[in-house]
Amino acid sequence: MINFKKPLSLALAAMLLVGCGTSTDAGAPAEGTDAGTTDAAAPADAGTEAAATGAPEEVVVAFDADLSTMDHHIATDGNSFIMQSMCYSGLMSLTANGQPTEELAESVDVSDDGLVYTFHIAPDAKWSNGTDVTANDFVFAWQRLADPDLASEYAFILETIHVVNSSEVVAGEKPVEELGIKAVDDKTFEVTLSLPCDFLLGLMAFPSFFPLNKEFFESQGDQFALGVDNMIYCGPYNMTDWKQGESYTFTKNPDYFKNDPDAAETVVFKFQQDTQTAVLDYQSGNIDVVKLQGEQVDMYKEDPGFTNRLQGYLWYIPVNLTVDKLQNLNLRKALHYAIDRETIAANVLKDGSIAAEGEIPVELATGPDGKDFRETAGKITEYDPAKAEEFYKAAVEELGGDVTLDLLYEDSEASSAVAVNLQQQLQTNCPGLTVTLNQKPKKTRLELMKTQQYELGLTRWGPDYADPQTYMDLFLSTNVSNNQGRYNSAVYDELVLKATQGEDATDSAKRWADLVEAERVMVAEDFAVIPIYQNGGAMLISTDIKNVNFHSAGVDDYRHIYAN
Amino acid sequence: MSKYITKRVLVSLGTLIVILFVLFLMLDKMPGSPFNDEKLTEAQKALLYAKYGLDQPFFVRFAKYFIAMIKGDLGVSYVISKNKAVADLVAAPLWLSIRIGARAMLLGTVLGLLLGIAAALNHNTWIDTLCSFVSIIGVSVPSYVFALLLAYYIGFVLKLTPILFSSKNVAASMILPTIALSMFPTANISRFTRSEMIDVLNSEYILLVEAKGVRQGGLIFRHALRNTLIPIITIMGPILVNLLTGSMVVEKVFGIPGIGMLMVQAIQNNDYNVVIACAFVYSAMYIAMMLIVDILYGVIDPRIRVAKGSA
Amino acid sequence: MSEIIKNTHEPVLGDGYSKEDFVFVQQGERLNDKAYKATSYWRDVWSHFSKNRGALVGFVIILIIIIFAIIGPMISGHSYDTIIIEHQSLPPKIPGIFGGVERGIDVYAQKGVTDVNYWFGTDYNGRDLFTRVWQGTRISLLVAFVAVIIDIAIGMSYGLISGYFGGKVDMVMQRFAEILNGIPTLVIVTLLGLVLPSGIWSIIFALMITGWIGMARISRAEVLKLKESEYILASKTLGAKDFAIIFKDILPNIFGQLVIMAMFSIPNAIFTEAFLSFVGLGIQPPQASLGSLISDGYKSLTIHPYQIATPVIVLALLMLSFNLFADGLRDAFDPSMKQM
Repeated sequence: MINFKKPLSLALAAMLLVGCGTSTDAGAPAEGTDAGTTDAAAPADAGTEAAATGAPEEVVVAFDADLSTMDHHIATDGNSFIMQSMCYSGLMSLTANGQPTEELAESVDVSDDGLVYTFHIAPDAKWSNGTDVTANDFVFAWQRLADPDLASEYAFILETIHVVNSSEVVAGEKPVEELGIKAVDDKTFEVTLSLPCDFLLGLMAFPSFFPLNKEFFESQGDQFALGVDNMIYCGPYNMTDWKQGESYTFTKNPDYFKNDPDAAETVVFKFQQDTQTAVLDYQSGNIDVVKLQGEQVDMYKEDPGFTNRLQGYLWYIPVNLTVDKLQNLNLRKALHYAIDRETIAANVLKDGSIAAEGEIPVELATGPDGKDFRETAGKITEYDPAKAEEFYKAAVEELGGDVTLDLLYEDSEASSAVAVNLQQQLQTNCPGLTVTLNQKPKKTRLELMKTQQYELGLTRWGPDYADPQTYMDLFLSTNVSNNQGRYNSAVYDELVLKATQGEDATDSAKRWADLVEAERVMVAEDFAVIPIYQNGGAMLISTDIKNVNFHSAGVDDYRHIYAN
Repeated sequence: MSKYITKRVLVSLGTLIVILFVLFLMLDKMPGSPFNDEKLTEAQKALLYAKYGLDQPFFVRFAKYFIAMIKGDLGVSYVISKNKAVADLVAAPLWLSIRIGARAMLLGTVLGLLLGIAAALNHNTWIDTLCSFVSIIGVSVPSYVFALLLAYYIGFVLKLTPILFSSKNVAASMILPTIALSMFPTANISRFTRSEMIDVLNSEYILLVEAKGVRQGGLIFRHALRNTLIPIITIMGPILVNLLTGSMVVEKVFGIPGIGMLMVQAIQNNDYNVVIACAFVYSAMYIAMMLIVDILYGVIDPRIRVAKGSA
Repeated sequence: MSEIIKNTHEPVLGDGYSKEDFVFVQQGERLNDKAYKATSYWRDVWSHFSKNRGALVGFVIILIIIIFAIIGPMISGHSYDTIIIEHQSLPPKIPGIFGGVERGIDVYAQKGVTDVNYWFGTDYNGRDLFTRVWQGTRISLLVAFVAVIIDIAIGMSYGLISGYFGGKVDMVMQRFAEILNGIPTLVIVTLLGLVLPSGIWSIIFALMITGWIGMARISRAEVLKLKESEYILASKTLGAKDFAIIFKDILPNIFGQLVIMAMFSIPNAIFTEAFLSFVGLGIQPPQASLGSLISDGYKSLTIHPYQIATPVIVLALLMLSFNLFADGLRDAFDPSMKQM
């Protein structure tokens, strides 16, 4: 037996090598043929562009969350909104510094009492099938948004700007026709409000308010917006390719009347969950814009393409006040003072996040005096370990023993990092306190918090419009959906309602003062909500990419992106 | 034989229906809902439940789903790609995953057999040790770690292959995921082949063949390999299942829009119909593989065929 | 060869041999059969096992890892959950071996950390990785051992009952196992992860819920083989009850098989736990397991490769040594395979 083994094993070893050889060979021609198909496909794909500009200019943006819908009335996530605003326009759009400017509207008239907005739609505004964008398209779109049958998550936004009858229509108490909007003529759209709204124009750039062509919509039946052939566009780009879970391609609409001549010919949004491989691809030059996470931020902060931005998202802990022990004010005070927000923002997250100074983020809203809300309201959160210990001792005395609290958070990288640090800080600064961690997927976390099945929960809120009200409304005792901690304060309710719907609603200065006071009552008097940090976002943006406009309240703008 | 196969197929179908029911039940009992975004009101949630028929009793929903499913309608997605038909949503990813999985399996089997045979023939030499080492690495380093290392060294440093998946260049962008996924089958099959081969080589009938003076190459492939292959077929099923699980993470690393990634996304988002469809597809593939392995086993090993034929 | 065979048939004497060429031997010697000491089954197993070098090495490595898992967290002088944010992501530093250098920069000097050496470095939150790796090993081993023991208990009883009674009972029990097996493990554990409170016991439960099926299959197959044997028949004729036969007569004979199977399952359980961690269903922080350490380390693999290196090495060593150990055990238990 021994004698035949050797030559055979040699033969086998040789086979192994050949085997390896063939498998590499098999790889190589495959690559070759593929390159062939790409070459063949590329001219066909980009035929028109190549003819026009010589070389097609393509920008690739990596997203770590997938597109969920192109129907702007049922969309709820940021990435879907970003892609929708590529190929649809609103009456207004936002400039680079976040100010509203006319887009589909040519001009806007506002009545003296601030209750009637008349939009004159530009005569050149057209859908991609050549028909005019008319006031009726807006009427139809807004009515659909309010329609209780559609149950759009963003229907509330009509109520936020106080469109006449919006609450009744959304609640199904009045037909959609009674919504306070009308088409005066083909190109004149009129909105009537029950109360003035300072931030209405900025919101017109938000996809929920975009128009919808009734005729086309009805011709598509239940297939509307499910594919590139089931949509018509009214924005600077047309969606030309939709590969679910992979990439979404937008190609410049040559007929758009406000075409930006500099903007890139093609913008591709690529879905890539794993940021490490995305960054590798960025460094290989295949991706132009990519988000960074965790350690990557430290690693690439010297990179020429490194960009830090501040987002409007505020992360906070709404203390669950239905839990007996948390009804103890001293315990809540101890928690508030025990958290070192600066360390969490600067040393744990490092992505441009900043410590929260209150429940309203910075750069969200500007008051009647021209100052940022935060500047007026000041810093109302505080880190003070001595106070924390003192209040905790008082709480232990009142509660009759040491406390164990459960901290619920979602399974994202940032949340986990913040949660373990919060645990450490709370336990160190309140000696005797035990904090257990409870990590759940986001959807489950939300469900648990909505049903008050938690003690401390790390959650966030992204502003829908540039006004503190987007946060203040959350903690009204009547807001059963969003008031997760069941904060119930007559003082707070009165202040907020007075400012948003009551006697001060028409007086900007008084309204502002009310909101400042309401925030103070909630955060620094009742300690019902513990603000932690305002979200930053670290990104790598290739140095030859220009004109990406980030908006902390509103949708990020890739409509003018271009590569040098 | 055909009677046996018919019976096995029928039992498998029955099992699948029960699995579907269990999946339905599990999702029903799961906390959370597809419609629990921060900004949705309770009233709207109720409306959406009514719109999609989620407010109906459990058995009504199951019956409706089952009937629609027979007609090829798997419902619509609630979250991932709102209102898209799940059947359309699942088809392309499934095909992609199968293609990658099949390649990885093929590569893994070939490499595994070669390594295993080489190790067995050189039992207790450095070649044997090397092969064992490779297979241990293959089973003990998670596939996503491999995947990222491959992406880094082959894709990024050497620039031989694309890093991320692109449907414009499918064949090239499937190379790295295929290699990453094939590690596990390679390791398992080589280990198994080695021990089976050693057994077979030491068995009496090989000694007999040897005594008859059969030439070496022919000896191995005609007699030893065939008998080694039979038990290997039995481990194919579990390996394939493992491949499916591995594909979920490898797909995430390379950004492949495959069925694994779709399912993980669906589970995270409580997208009921998509979860059920993906999980059901997995179960169906698993049961089909078991069935095929059983039947193949019968085809290759005459003893089993005889035994079952007479039973 | 044929020539030799022919020769043996030739007459022996003649051809120049004479009677003087042959002498009597052993005349007058007392011939005794040598009495070997009777060896017990376990001694036999041990003697086979101890001759298997690979198995011994595996056994020793497992022992060393277990010892480290027990004392490691105590000897490092750090706690596995103490966050020192200033000590974030420090590379390994052992005087004389690792200099705490990453990409040519002495990170310790750069961050002004001069008074401590982290043997395996620190993680993103500035926790000592040496402590965390051994703490994680401890948790992973605990999870795996407990899960496998429960697997054996359930799987063995299930397989024994199903195989012994056969017929309808077997049919129903097998279908049940097949259905449970047909649902992808990931779906089951994910859904369980949402329902169950987080923690070690939930992971053990998740591992167990599908893990026992393999055990059941093996024990069933063994029972099918054994139940036709004569000694069972004898036991039956003597009036033994079914359960007495199952647990007194059959069980001891398949136990060796199950132990081997368990040894192979332990690394698998550790591996599955690692997979659960990667999809975010593993152990709750700040607790660590090998799986959660690997999945944390993965997030910065391209930036700080050392963070994933140590847990992967420990995991690979564990897998390797359990496999070697189990191989050796199988050979020792099953004498027919001893030549391997």
